[in-house]
Amino acid sequence: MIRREVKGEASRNYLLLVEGKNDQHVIWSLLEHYNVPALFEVKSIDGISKLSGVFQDKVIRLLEAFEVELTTIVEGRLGMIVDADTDLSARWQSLSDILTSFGYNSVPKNPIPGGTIIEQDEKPIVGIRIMPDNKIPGMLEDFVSFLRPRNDLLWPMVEEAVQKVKTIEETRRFHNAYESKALIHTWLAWQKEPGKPMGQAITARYLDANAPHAQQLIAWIRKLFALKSA
Amino acid sequence: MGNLILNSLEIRNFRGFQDLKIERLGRVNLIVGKNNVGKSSLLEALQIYARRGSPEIIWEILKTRDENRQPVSRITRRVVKIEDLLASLRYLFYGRKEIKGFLDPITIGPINSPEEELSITVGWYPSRSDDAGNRTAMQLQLLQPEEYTVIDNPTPRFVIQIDNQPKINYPLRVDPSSLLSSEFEEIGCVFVSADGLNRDGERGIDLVDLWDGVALTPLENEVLNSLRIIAPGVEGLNFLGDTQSVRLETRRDVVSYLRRIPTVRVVGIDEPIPLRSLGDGMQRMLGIILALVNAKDGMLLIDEIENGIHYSIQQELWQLIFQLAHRLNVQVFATTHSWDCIEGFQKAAQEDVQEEGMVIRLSLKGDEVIATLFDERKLAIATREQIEVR
Repeated sequence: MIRREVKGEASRNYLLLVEGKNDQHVIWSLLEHYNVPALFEVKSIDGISKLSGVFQDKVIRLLEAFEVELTTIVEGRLGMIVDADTDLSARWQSLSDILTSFGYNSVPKNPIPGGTIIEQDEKPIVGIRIMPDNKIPGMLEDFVSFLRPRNDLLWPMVEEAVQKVKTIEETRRFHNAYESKALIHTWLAWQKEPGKPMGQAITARYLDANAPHAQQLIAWIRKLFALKSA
Repeated sequence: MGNLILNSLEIRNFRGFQDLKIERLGRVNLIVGKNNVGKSSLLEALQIYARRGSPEIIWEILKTRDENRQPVSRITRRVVKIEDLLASLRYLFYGRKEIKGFLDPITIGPINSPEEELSITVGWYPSRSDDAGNRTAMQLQLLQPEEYTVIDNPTPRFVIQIDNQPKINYPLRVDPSSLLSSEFEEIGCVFVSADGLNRDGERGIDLVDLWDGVALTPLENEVLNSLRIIAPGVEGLNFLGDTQSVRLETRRDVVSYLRRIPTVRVVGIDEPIPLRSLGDGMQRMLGIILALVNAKDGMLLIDEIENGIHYSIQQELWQLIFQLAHRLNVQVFATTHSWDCIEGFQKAAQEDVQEEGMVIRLSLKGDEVIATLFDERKLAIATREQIEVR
């Protein structure tokens, strides 16, 4: 498992917020693959909360944390990776509202396909990536499924299996919204070492870190944190 | 909810603050930030504001920071040189520029409220051969910048203004024997320094005086309650006399005087116990609460509030501060370095529905000190997600 330790002052003002541990590990693995220097922290919301047993929507928590980090960071850069879930434009609207309330007046109407970066005088540079690809509804698991090798023979079988389970009421346990989770984890279950978490599956090269979606994500991160490409 | 003395604050040209704006203040305000960023300066500005720019508080502040160049020796009372006074005063003005000619005033007050703004500078007046000129200061005519070079040997004086009331001027040097009564109405303000007790008997609080202000009143119970946060067995408090003998530095005489020591009755113990024997935290707690109950309808300023207070009871201390600040209509400003203290503050603020708590972080942005505000909502999120606001 890859864990990145960030050193120095920069980490406090260079921050990438993500929704959960899975997001954090996927990002860490990609950063490792691309030799991106550890000059910013990848902070996961579910790993740090002091809440215990209290249910709270993770996206709400992420947005609230984003807002407070935006308040806290003085001269820095703040990125966030958030799932679009079922309604991309609603998610973008809530982000846009937060940024507008902080005085960012050049927030685009829709997310930029390659990842949004917004600069505003006297304010932290802000980057937003909406999973899976800034364009369609979905989540981290959809993004990860984009990284499967080309001409992968398993995927059609995975889709078939998941569809089959879905249609029978007795076997279907997951909600529609979680179908992409079911897909990717079924696929991971059929690898050489079954059931590796997504981040480790990147490192083990079951997934292709050079896939276009991964390259695009890394390019956005490098640009956001002003890091030269290796 | 009573009105706050300050709903917002702007400080210009004072110490490290070129133009510090704090857009919103709460009833209870906690100031955080790295060392040397100006937390204590902010408390100083508030003291000066409350005291309406009295030269007395200005020299007190300079003395506490060893920035005063007034003669220190008690044996040779040498005449103070004007240059020395001006050299000391430089510390107060942004950029520590040499004081000659026109000097941009220090201003302190709510944002966009010129009628409540206090302005202090050093201005120049025609010199009089007769030192009695001091007493007729009001009739002195402030020199205009173009006159500085024309008039021989002008005399610098403090120039204080509030709103558009006439400017008041004071001599730079304060003569302690002729206490200046301020021309403006002062705001009640009690300051608790980081070490709690006053050094040199000048600045900070005197526990005995504060105690005498509340003894045998209902507030006495609040003071006892605060001590019970640390030591639940405390049943009573008084200041008992104890004869002390000291040898004065300047003489060989030994002088005896009566010192009154805070002493408590503790359940199950027959003899009175000196408060200090129950630990430093008790003394600190007593200082803070006595200051608070004496600051009714005014301001309470506490530097490094966490000193001596164990982290486990900081929340209870804040709860008490919120309650009393509400009841007694006190606006509280405290500084801290401690994350535990911020957490305790956050929890107490969240619990208290009557008054707003605000964390104000001072930090550097380039060369400029800026203030970042965390209201109760943002503070709750920061605590939950472990976001460092210090």
